[in-house]
Formats: sequence, C-alpha cells, structure tokens
Amino acid sequence: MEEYYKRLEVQTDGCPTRTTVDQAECERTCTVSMLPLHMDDLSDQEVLEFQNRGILNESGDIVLMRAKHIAYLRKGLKVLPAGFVALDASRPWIIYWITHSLDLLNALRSDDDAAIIATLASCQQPTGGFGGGPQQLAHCAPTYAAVLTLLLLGTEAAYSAVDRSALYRFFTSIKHPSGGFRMHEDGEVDVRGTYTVISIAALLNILTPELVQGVAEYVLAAQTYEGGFGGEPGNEAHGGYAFCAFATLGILGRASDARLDSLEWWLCHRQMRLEGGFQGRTNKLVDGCYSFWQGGTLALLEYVRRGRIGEVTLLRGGKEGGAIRPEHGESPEPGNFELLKYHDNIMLEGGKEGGAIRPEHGESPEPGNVILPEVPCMLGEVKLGADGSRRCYYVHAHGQMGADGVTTFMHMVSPAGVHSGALAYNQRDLQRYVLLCAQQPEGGLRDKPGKTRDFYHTCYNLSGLSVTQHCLTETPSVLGDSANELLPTNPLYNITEVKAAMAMAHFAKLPCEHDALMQQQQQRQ
Amino acid sequence: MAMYVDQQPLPGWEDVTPIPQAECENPVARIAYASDYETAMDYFRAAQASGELSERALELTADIIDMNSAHYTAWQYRRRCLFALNKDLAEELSYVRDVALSNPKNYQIWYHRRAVVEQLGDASTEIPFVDEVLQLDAKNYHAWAHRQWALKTYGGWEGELEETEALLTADLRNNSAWNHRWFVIHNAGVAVTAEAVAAEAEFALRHIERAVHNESAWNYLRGYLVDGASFDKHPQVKAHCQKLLAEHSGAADCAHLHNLLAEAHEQEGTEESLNTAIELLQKLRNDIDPVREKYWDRRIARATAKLERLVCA
Repeated sequence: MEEYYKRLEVQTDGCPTRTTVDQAECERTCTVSMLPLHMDDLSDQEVLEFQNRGILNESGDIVLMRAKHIAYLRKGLKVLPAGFVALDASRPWIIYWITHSLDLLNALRSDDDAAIIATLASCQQPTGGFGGGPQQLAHCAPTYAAVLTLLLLGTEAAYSAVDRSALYRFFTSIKHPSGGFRMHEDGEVDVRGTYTVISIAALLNILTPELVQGVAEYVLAAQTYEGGFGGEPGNEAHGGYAFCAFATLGILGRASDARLDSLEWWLCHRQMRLEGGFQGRTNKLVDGCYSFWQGGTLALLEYVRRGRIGEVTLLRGGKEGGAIRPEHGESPEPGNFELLKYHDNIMLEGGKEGGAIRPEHGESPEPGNVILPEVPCMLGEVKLGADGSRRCYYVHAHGQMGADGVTTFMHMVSPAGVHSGALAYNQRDLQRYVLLCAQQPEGGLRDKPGKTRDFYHTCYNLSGLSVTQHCLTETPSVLGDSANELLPTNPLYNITEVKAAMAMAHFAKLPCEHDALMQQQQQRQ
Repeated sequence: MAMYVDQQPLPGWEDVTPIPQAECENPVARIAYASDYETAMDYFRAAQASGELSERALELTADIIDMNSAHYTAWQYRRRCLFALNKDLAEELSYVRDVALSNPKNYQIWYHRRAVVEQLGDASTEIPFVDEVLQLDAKNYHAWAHRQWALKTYGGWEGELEETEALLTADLRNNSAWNHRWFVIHNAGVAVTAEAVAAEAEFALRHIERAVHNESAWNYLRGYLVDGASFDKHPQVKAHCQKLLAEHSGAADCAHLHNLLAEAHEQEGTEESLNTAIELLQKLRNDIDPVREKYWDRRIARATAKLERLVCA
C-alpha cells in the first residue's frame, strides 16, 4: 500500500518550499484516512474497528454514513449556537446547504416547509431580492441560496414566495456597465455575482435580453492563460469562479466561445494524484468542496462537448441549446423556453386520472403503471422484472394532472456499481476522497482530514458526489455500498434534477418580458 | 419578543427605540445571538430606519463588524456614514488594515477598501498594504485581486515584475505570483512582442530547471505557446524540452514535460510529429499519469483524429 502512494507523492525536486511542505503534510493525513481501502493490509481487528465505526459495511465496502449526516443536517435547521454569528449575513446559505444536502440524501421532509418558507420570506426585501437575514440589504448570494431552497422544496407555496418582478427589478438595478452584476447596491462586481443572477433568472424565467447584455463577454474575459477562470479578468484561475463562469456561459449558450481544451486541461489537472479530490488552484491543497466546483464544471464541459448542454440548462434555443442570444434578435419567450426531455426517461400515462397505478395495489409496477400521487415530487423504490431491485425515481412535475400539459418524468436507474464514468476526470478516485477523507465519522463532511465539518462542505462534497455518480450515465457509478447512491443533481443549478425540471415547468408559464416585469413592479407599488 | 423587555439601552443611544430583528415565528437556522451582538444590531436597525448617518452610527458599524466582519449591510452603512460625515479616509484605511490582517479572507473588507480608495482617489497606500497581507499568506486571492484592481485603475506598474520574482524566490510554486507575472506582462501597457514572449519562456524554463515537477512554471510557459499556437515561432522551447527529457534527472516521470512536448508536436501537425505526440500521450496515460487516464484518452483520440484526417486527405 505504501508503495502505491509513494509513487504519487509530491516531488520536491531537491527544492522544498512552503507549497511542498504543506502538500506533503496533507498527503500524509489523507493516506491515513484511506487505510480502509486496503483491506489486504489490515488486520481483522482493524477491519472490525472500521466496521464498528460505520466506515465499512459487513462486506468491507465503504459506506456513506447517511444516518449520521442526516442527523447533523437536521440539527442545523434548529437553533445554532452563538458562534454562527459569522454566518448571520448568510442564513439563506445555511438553509440551502442543509436542505439541498438532505434532498440529495433523499431525506428532505415536508415538516419544515412552512418554517423554511417563512424564514426565507422574512429575508426578502420589498424592493426585490433576499438579504442574508431579516432587514439586511438584498444581496445576490443569499438571493441565489434562498431561491434555490424554495425551488427545491418544490411546492406551490414555495414557488409563490418569490416576488419575481421585484427580483427582476433588483437584478436590473445591480447590472454593471462591464456586463457583470454587483453583488448588492454599492457592492463588488465579479463572476460569482454574475452566475447567481443569470442562473436564478434562468430558473425563474426572467432571463431577458436586458439582463443578458454583455454578460458572456464579461465572463469570457476572466478565462486565464491556465485555462480556468478568475473572479475578475486578470485574476488567478480558481475552481469556484471557473464553475460560475462556465455555468453562466452554458446558460447563455456561449460555452463554446471559451477555450475548451485549455479549460479541460486545467480542470483535469486540479484533481490530486494521491488524494483523488480536487484543489481550487494550481499548487494549492485539496478541498472537498471542489468536488462540486471543479467536478461540476467538468460535467458541464462534457455536456457541451456532446452537444447536450440543453439537458441541464433546460432552456431551448441558441446554437448550443442555451438561452436565446439577444444578439440573434430573438427575445426569449415562454414558447421557446421549453423544458427539454430528461435522459431517455419514460413519460408516464395511464390510469383514470392520467396517472398510473400504485405498486402497493398489487399490480406489478412497470414503467407504464407506476402511480404519480398528488404530491409534487417523490421517490420510490420498486422491484422490477427478473433483474432484482431497481430504483425508480419519478416526479409529477406541477401538481396538475390532466389535459393541461402535465409533465411527468420517470428516471429508471439500474443497480449501482462503480464504473469509470463518462466525465474526463477520475470519478472513482473522487468518490474515494469524498467518502474516506472528507466524510467525518461523526456525521457531516469537511474540507480535508484535520478540518472540521460544516454545512457548506457537506453540501458541496455531496453535490460533487452526485455529479460524479449520475452525470451523463444511465447507470450510476457508485463506489462502495450501493446505498451510497445519491439523487441526481442538476450540475448547472445544483438542485436535484427533478426539482430543477419542476421549477422550469412552473415558471415557464409566467411572463418573462422586460416591460411586463418592470410594470408589475410598478403596479405593486 | 420577550427578550427585549429586559434589554439594557446601548450607552449613547438612550434616545432611540431599538428595532428587533423581524424574525418569523419558529424560524429555521436561527442563531442564538450573544446579547451584545443582538443589542448592537437592534440599534443598528433603528439607525438604518431613521437614516441616521452619525458618529455614533459609524462606531456602531465598527462594533458589529468586530463581531461579524461579513456583515455587508453594516459595511455598506459604514460607507454611507463615512462619506456623509466627510471623515478622514486615510484613517479609515488604517482601520481596514487592522480588520483585514486579522480577517484576510473576507469579501466585504476588500470591497470596502476599494470603495474607500476610489472615494479618496489615491491608491498609493495599496501596494504596500497588499504586500503586508501577502506576508501572512502569499496566495491570498483577495489580496491579489485588490492589487490587480489598483494597478489597472491607478497604475504604478514599476517594480511589479521584481515583486513577482521576489515571491518566486521565496516559493517558486506560488501560482498566484506566476499569475500576477502574466497579468503584469499583459496589462502594463508594454507590447507583448515575440522577444518578450521568448524572454518569458526563458524565465519559465529557468524555473523549470530548478524544480521540474512544478506545474505553475509549466502552465505559465504553456500559456504563451498553446493557445497562441506559437511553438513554431519559438522553436527553442521544444529544443529545450527535448534536452530536458534527455538530460534532466527528474524528466522520466515528469508529466508536464511530456505533455508540452506532445503539444508542440501536435501543433507541428505532420504525420511524423502527430505519431510522436500520440506516443508521448500514451506514455502519459499508461506510465506517468494513469490517474488521469480518461483525460489522456481524450487527448489521444483528438491527436489520432487529426492524424487520420491528414493521412486520408
């Protein structure tokens, strides 16, 4: 085992510096964390100990400690100790990190919906957008977190809590001459703020030519000689900004205007040889959150390369299936803003109400007859055919059944196993990092061994794990215990794909013209 | 809320009725605030509501920032007070310095500093300030972004290349310093001539000789040659790399060296050079860097497609 890692260790070339000293120390702690991977080198006693701690199951497979993570996350929705004051201007973020993590773990309960909606509504400003807490200025980052949370709850009450036209006016008020957006009134302009505006506008169907004007050019200017993107033109390439920049280009249908080969080079080289996780920048240390920021960007890149980016933007139009480009003269309208079909999923029809039949009723559940109850989203486990247990995810897209264009999705997944996957990075090594190095035995996930869990790292480790398990594959690639499989996340918006699709279907019906949105606001006043 | 009944007024604010946080019933992710933070916030909200831009409001923002330096609303209100009261902004910069040195990874501080400098119209303090922060952490992202903003907006490029050299002497793997070097070369208003590129390639290769596995230096070198498709204009780079491959003790397992040579051969685009590129890429995939096997597979596929087009044409 030591031989194996030895080959992958950082090379100092006889010239050790701060960078190599830090890197060597990080590799040492990660190597220790990866012990359970090497069963043959372990004594029976050691194996038993790992099993007792819940890291290995009875067959010796690595386990995602779901129950512990869920308990840790649920506790966070209650009262947080005074030390959380540093996040007092980020409360919608805390709520998003927790609820999205729970959703990925398929453990989101509706009990807290009303309290979550009310808490987020208390952060919404009358002039549009959400602040980090009640009576705080509207700010793009908590706005992003608040809206994503409402959309991942996926109920009519949650959707209607967003004042779209006020939000639209807030977005227009922070539009900057560079093409980007300010974070808030008198706030900074960077690629992060720009992604939050564009992605939320896309989801809520308020992505007008007025908002899109100059955005792609602003973002493209932030691509660096290394291939990644910085926060502002000239800044060093960085994982968080690379995601924000490339996701924005994806939504706008402009991803191919970036230097894709260089981006791919840079992204793939951010994966650490020994640790398996990603670093944020060249010659920095691994951090579990980049499992999503870098891994997600690599997934988006692959959708772009295959001409399938429309499957995750859920927008139609433009040369790449992104939103209609204002340069082309078309204005994005509900009609050309349709939902695209998911994977090769099966559209359900049948039953007297246009639904299908419940497996509990005794019929054998087949793609054609699985019921879609009157709940907006659910996930069920059904047994199908001779090949044993298969999972069936299904969703009723917007609560109305019948002739009015109900959209139902069904996503069939075969039994999970680990395979190399369709993305350009090493998906097996990434999962190894998340499960063995980032996972904290007490529950919650972290940056790296030696650091303490937090909700941010829990969210982005799990999101990265979901991307790597599901993106561009019909058969998920799952390392370790088959129950490690998470729900698929949409790699562009980072809420589960069914929630993103439901939201898109819901908001596509609402008006999205600049004048109408501005006018609605005036009427309200 | 009951807790406000017993609340002591904040000294100096006796004339003001505090405004509690408008929390909903049973909020989620509620923070159990320490009482001094809660009190400060209650009076801050009152000041905001009345639009009071005063000395005491300015002080109150400092109290809040001391407890939560990410409170962007407090920072923004602080700017409003500062500018309305016509405060000494040089003094403000020294306040920001103190906050930043104990809290260097916070967005708000850095934006505040920009806004104050813009108001002041004088950025002469900024490079020394950034240097101070970089002494604590030579890769601090905000500090570098601030430096680049100051340079782009106010100039003062003299000494910048030397600065990157000093930082690279301390740690030649400091990628932020390499990035800054690129930034200076491309933004200081001096044309990036072929000679300049040759000099920078030479600079990178010198550092590569010292630590052949240092990705930062390779990426810097790559930046000039790959996207610019200009290996043919700088044949010395390929020759230098071939020499490294033949002679350097660390070359055999150096992925970046093999990759750059592969890219040089790919750009040449002849049947022979494409075959060499594919060979190098296969070596990377199978022996040197199998962790990135799928990435190298893609590169091999692209080079092979190029070769096939060439042979078929």
